Amino acid sequence: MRKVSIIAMVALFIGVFSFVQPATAAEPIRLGLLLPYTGVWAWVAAGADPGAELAVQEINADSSLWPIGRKIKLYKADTETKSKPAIEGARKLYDIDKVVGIVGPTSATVRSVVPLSKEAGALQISPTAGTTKLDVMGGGIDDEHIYRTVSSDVVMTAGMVYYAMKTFKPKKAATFTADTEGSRSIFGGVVDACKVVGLPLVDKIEFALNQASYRAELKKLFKQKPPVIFWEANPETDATIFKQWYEMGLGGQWIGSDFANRTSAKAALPASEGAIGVNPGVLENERTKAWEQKLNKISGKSGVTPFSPNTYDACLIFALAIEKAKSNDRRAIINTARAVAQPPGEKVYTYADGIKALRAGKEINYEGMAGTQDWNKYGDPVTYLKVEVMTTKDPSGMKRIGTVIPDDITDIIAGVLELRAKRAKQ
Amino acid sequence: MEDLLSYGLLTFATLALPSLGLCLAIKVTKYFNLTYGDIVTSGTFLALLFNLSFGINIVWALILSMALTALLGVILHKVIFKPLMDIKVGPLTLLVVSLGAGFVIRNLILIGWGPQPYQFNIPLARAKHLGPFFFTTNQMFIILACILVAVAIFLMLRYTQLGRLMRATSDNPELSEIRGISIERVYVYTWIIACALAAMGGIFMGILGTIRFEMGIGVLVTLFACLIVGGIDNPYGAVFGALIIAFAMEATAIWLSPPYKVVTAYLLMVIILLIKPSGLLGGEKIQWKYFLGFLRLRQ
Repeated sequence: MRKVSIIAMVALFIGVFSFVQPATAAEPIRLGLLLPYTGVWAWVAAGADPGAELAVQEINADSSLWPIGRKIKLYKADTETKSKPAIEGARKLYDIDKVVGIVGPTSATVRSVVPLSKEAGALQISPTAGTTKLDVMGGGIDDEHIYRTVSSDVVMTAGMVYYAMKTFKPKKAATFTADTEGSRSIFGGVVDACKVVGLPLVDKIEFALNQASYRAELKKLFKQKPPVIFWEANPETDATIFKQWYEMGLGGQWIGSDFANRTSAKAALPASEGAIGVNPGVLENERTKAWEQKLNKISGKSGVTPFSPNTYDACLIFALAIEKAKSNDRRAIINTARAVAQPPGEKVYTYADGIKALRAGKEINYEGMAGTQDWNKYGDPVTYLKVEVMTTKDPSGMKRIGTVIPDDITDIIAGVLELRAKRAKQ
Repeated sequence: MEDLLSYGLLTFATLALPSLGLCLAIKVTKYFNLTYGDIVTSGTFLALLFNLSFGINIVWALILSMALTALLGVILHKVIFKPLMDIKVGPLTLLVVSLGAGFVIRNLILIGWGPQPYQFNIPLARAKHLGPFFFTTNQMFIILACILVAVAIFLMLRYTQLGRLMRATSDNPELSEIRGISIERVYVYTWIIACALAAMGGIFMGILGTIRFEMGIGVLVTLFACLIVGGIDNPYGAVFGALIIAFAMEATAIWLSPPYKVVTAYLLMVIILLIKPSGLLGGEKIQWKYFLGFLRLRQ
């Protein structure tokens, strides 16, 4: 009996300890992902999230290439497209999950989170926030380390106006935008870009989202028959606007921003056939095509989902900055982020190449999927823009018809920034 | 003027029948039911299910949806509100419970259909000039259907047995019960009619605009504005209120500024509450003293 008891105890001891994992010397590096998984901008997270998952998959694929010998683990929080949940999410990520930094969030909530990142002494890279309110903040100024891997709305609106002038050569245009902060950012950018290129805006209509009827607004908009209309709403409102615009037989060419996307197309087609969207995208080449295929396996959708290349770039910049700093300390990452993202340095196009170059003692300049990711003093890049048209002929609802590269719009951007600087002095 | 006539009538067509249904529900059952907006949404999504998923023609989808939404209303009444009314809870409790029930329905629709907008499978059409009006064929039918159904409800209330029972119950439920009227049966019929009207109104909204899971709760305050302006306990007032609100909103969009059109509905509601709380077709006289009092303050 005593022998049986001893054997039983030994067996129990072995059994218990076989479940106890040996303490891992290399705990994963925690990276925060703060996006609107719910709320009116849930489509942004749906597009961006696969980019982050792909980045982490690539980083973790080869243990010999893990930054400072550790895997990356994503910790996600939902902003619900509102400030209060965004702040709560950021607090959770920094204080409870102890993330080294945050990727996110969107224009709707990014400025609410910047003070928390400053308080936490952490790097924040937004892959989706185009709001022009960030144009003159961040990049380390006032110890606010908010950077972006997506262009400011100034760039996107410059692209919209550039494309309109190049393709349709209008003598006048109009704007039709919602009364929200994001839409006003687009509106402001379009107005300034039109001033720079000398395109008169004959009407500027602002409206409330999610109304049952926009007939009166549309009648006003087309009073002076603008051939081009720059618009910004949301998918629900787009569905109503385009249906009623079609019924009224008003004509005109619609050009939108990143809100003119597949979600909007699915809601508004067939009435919105021919409406154009100019939004962040990748340069079409073999590299991006191969990347797109890997992304499709994760997203389960065809094509490049909105903001996925930008989110991918943000995650890789974090990993490369950690390796360069030889540390996952928040302040150390802040100090090395610029060094890996911009010149001088050897241009690298993949995570693996970047890590190998860093370990060989070289300086690197990561050239991202969404663009060069060379940050100006405020931490803003100028990324590529893709031009898509809404069409029932493509199952996704959008067909790519062109690309706007930074060189195309440098003059317009410079003109807009000069206008804004003059206005700020007055 | 052509614009105001056309757009005003179209907005009226989306508001009139749900306002009428809500008025009947409030008048007969004597409490504000905030589930009503989500019943509008339920009816629309049922029609969407028949039209998109089963490929059924929109007219048949409308009829089927009205029937099922009426059934939903009866189930909600029997399962949730009747037990509470039997134990004589106050109207405030019923209001709060209705808010919760609406929340559940809305989120069930969100889980089932997602947050994205939908459209009925109806071919697009261009509007045509018809005298002073500018409509598509569908829009014309919707406006005519709205008017015919409203008139049918008024005739039902005035000339049928059911109408008399509903009026008696709304005037004095205790006396009606003493006289042998089954109050419970009247409530059930009221909910059937109110929910069928909600479904019809929601489907018209969906045909003229977009279908979203929040569409009903979004329009609920405007429906209350219609009732308050026209007369909360007067079915004719509900439809009249919808007419006033619809034309006021569109006039604001045409002649002032589009973002203010929603404000117009609420402003009218506040003014009517101040000077004639029973509504334009309601029982009380105009309370000029509030208006005059306001003028005296300004002097």
